Amino acid sequence: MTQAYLDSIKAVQPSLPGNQFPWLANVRQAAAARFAATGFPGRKDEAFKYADLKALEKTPFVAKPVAPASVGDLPWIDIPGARLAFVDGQFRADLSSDLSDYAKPLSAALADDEQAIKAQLDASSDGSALAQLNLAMASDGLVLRVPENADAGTIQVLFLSSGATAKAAAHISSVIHLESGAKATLIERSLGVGSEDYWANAVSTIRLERGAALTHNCWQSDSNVAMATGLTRVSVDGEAQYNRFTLSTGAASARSEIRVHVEGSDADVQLSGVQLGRARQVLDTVTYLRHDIGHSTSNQTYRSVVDDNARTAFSGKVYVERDAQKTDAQQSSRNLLLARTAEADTKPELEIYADDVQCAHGATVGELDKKALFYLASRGVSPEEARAILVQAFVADVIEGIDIEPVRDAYLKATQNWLMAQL
Amino acid sequence: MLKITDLHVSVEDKEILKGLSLDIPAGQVHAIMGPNGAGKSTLGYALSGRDGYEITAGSIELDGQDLLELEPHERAAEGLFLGLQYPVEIPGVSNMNFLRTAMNSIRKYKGEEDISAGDFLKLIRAKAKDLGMDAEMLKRSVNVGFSGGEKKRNEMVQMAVLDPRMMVLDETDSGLDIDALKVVSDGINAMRGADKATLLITHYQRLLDYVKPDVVHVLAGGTIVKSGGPELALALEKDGYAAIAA
Ligand SMILES: Nc1ncnc2c1ncn2[C@@H]1O[C@H](COP(=O)(O)OP(=O)(O)O)[C@@H](O)[C@H]1O
Ligand SMILES: [Mg+2]
Repeated sequence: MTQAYLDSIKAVQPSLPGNQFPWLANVRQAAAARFAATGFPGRKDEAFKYADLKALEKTPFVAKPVAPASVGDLPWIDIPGARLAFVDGQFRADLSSDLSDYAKPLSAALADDEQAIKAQLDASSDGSALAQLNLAMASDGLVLRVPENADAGTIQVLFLSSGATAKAAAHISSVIHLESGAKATLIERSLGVGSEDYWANAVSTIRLERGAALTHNCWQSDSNVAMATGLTRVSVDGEAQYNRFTLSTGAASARSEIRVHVEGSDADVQLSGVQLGRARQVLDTVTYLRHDIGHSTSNQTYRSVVDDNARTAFSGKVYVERDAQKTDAQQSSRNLLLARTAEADTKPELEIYADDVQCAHGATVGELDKKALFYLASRGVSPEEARAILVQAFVADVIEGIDIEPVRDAYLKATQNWLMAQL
Repeated sequence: MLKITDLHVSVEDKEILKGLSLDIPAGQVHAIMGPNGAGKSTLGYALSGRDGYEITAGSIELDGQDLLELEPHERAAEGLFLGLQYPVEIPGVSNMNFLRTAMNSIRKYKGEEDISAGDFLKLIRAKAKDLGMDAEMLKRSVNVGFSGGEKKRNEMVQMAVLDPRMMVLDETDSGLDIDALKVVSDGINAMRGADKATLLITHYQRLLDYVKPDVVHVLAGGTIVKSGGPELALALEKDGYAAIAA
């Protein structure tokens, strides 16, 4: 099966943006070679223990998507700022607006100044086979580069899959670099519209220099036959802030991995997310937070709600280096099962080599509170509505932490819609 | 209004109520008193249809309608209200949201339009004020961090807003200081009316000084062992349950 992917790499590579630069062609070839050597990760690979990637191996997702002429209105959140749309892995200028100097598609960024992103792409050779495939054949992505002390404002990005071609793949590679003191808010959503299955595979490489601050909200709402995999690598320098929220409602099988390296003191990393799974969905979140230097804080808050025969998983590892004293790393994973046939796995892991740290994790898996359900019923609330109100309360404390109102409202609405579709 | 006939209720296969009958006409307030564990709360839960309270025999009718046919939320929509002895805490759900959802659910059941946000706000603020509940508390999660007395007041605010016709109040007086007891009693009295009825479940006769019952019943051994006027409550207080129930 690996061969079909390798053939596909060979076929698309010449047409990939920037392939005329030898360094980039080399990076891509090396990535292809690493993929060829390992093949897809199996269940024995601890980081892929809960993900369900069988479909990727069973029949290769290598078809070249042919996007229909019109994909309908795009569901932008009503918020000012740059808007970039990608359809089936290709930037679509006709669907984008208010492009800023800081945010452009990878294809354009390579044409303008390929050296500027060389370092980050060069350095992204680690990662699983999925990341290698991405590196070898990403067709486009977002490049966000914000110079020292500048504020890039809000950048909204939509990654849409047309679902018009069966077994199509879109590999998206984004490179984000905030120089010291720079600021940006990045709102991403991936979604699918058609009925055919596809694979959306996104890798983002983020570098936050001293004192930079990135707010990063993502919503994975791919179609219910899709495979959605994502990897975000973040390096966080001193005094920098990375604030990430991920809502995961879509895809037949989704896996989101976030790897953060805290490389300076007084940095602050906030990771949070909500997974809502139903039918036979498998939604998997994997985080790895590494504190190399002390006096920084990290906080992870994840919630999953699982119904029917769906499965969600959260594996969160916190690694604290020996010299990273006074690290404060907290992690909470709470899971709500709406059906006896649903499954939620949670695997917190602390690996700590410093002795003067504050690290804690809490994980729970439970059902709806029967007393609360009765209380609501005794006041006239129907069982369906009672369930909805309690599920919303369960995820609300995380979603309400999003301080951009239109984004928060959009995610609350998405939760509500998910619940209504359940009734 | 409420007619309970030969009611048998089992909890976890243990029979708690063993043939209880009670008839509360519209316009009246009845009180049920009885020792701890007599089955008073069980009666309240059975009336409201809580899971796990199995009716093995008997009937419950509200104005001629068979309540046993209805789900708990439908009974509430039909105008039955149970004030809980131990109100439940619901983190993350504000009192406002809780009550607006309840109110609109009941309206939907009756085929009515949702209440407008403005009208609802006016209504709930007015009722909270009547019952001495701080408006700020309406925004807080249902009963979370509330004292025992505040929880009971909150039950009364809910009752005032939902405006039921049959009110069953389970130990609403426990945990209240004397001032709160007066406020809550005023609230109960304000809800009395020719087309409404109230069943006060209480352990102490204290509440009955403020809310005058028409009839007092003594529950013991799973049935009503004695019924009488308000003077029965005073006798119970003086002589104890053992003497009366014997
Ligand atoms: N959920 C329950 N599970 C088991 N036993 C119960 C439950 N509820 C009530 N009981 C039992 O039923 C009896 C009556 O309880 P209750 O109705 O609470 O009495 P009261 O309110 O009069 O104090 C007690 O023996 C109690 O232990
Ligand atoms: Mg009781």
